[in-house]
Amino acid sequence: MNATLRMIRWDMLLQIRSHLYSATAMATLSLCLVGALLHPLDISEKLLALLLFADPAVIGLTLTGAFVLMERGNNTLLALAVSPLRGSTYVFAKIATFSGLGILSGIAVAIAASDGDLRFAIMLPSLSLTNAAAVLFGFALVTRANSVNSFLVHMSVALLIMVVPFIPYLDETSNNALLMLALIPSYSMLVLLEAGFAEASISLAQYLLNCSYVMVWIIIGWFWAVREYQNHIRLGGA
Amino acid sequence: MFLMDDADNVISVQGLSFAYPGSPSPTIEKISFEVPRGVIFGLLGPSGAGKSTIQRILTRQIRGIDGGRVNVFGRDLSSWDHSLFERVGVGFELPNHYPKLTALENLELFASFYQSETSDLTELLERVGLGNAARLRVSDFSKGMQVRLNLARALIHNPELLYLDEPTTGLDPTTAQLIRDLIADLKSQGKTIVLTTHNMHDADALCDEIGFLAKGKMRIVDTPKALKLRYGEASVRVTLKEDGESVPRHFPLTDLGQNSDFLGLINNGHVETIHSQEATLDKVFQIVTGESLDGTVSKS
Repeated sequence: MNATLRMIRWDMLLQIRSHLYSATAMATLSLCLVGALLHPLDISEKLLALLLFADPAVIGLTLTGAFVLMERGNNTLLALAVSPLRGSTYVFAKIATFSGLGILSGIAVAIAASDGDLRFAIMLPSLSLTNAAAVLFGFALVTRANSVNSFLVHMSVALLIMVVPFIPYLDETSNNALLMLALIPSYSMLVLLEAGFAEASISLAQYLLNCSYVMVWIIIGWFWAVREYQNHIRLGGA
Repeated sequence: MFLMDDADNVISVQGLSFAYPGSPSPTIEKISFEVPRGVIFGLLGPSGAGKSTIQRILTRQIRGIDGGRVNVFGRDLSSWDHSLFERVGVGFELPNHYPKLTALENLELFASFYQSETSDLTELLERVGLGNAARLRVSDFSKGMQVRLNLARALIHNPELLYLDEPTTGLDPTTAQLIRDLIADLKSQGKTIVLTTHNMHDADALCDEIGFLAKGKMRIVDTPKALKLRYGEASVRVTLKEDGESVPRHFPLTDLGQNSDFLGLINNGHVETIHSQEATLDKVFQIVTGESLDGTVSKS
């Protein structure tokens, strides 16, 4: 087993012991219930995508940040800093575990909200990309936060920014100024999630364009997160 | 002093200076010392003297220095990547474990990072006196137990070079002695150890060579024995019992065997104690730095 797989295994155990999985299960159950209640109302895929977006927002942003803060609080990051663990291994393990959690949760919510009427071949990569991006955004938030309060402030601002693209996403008649908000990656994440529903009317080109855009953010986020781990997170400082 | 070529030194620090961002003055200034292979080198000084800063630089927790040169294992420290820690172990003063994992799981987690062969972890826990607590969660550990687990973790990969920060602080006397014995045992195995401490007893008992740090400057580097002799008195203090009272007498060490007064006391007097009058490290520190190890300015 290589170092990355071993780190993923340890991260999963730590997340289980920290009750993050049970917390996620509760959150997923709640979202499934909302989805199941909405299903008979025959609501649009756009609204279902918004419901599904809550998953990466909660798991990616909140749980990643909380977990790294917990590691920092226990000073374990200092111990990692003087071990041969690579920054890329640490970051990848976080992406893999939290994204995995988000994908499972997302699938459950999507099935509940659509009664299983999904394009799984589209929904799975969509959930993978949106969750990976969200975990990296969670990293971005926690990097410079030196306390739980500071993290909560950063997270609130980030959630506000991520919610703004809902306007052009829901109102297709938005003017050009509002359409600029679509540059915020949460817009593309919504498009990807919507495309996973069988009834969605997202073209392949539109899907691939938004996939590429989210991937660009993931690549930027990856290099940035590894650098921040080396320079800030692992030293326990903000 | 140890006289060795640079190649024999595991650590070589020359003219090292560093200031934390925003600090008006350097935290450490023009620090120089060398640590030969197989010795225990003690960095001694009160809080704020710069000991931890030097250790953080040596363990690459601080990467940008303001001046000087640091070589570890014959290579410039900045040229090392994470592979340095395959050969180096670090024992922190404060506990830093995953509290939700057991002691054994904590060691297994860190052992999984090393490419080199790791020690038998159960045996390692036995060595630091935690054999019975291997399957207890660290959240149930006392501070002393966590400090011992810190040391065990530093030894997982059988490193050539060990940095130990205040390894006996907060431990009861029995456990502190267990740790001192373990450190002495590591030295006998040929390990090089850098001990950061303000505990003169540990330094005196363990270190081959010590450096006194005060206000960010290295004031002196030498062996404990040489320092104690240099700054002590070359005499013996004899305490006699006379008329029910303890009376001290001092005799120069020079020609002590021919000193008729001294020999007379030994043969006829009621000698209670005899002590040579070399200085304690605490006293030497005060003489050399003008400070005491608790950071107060010495009046002597």
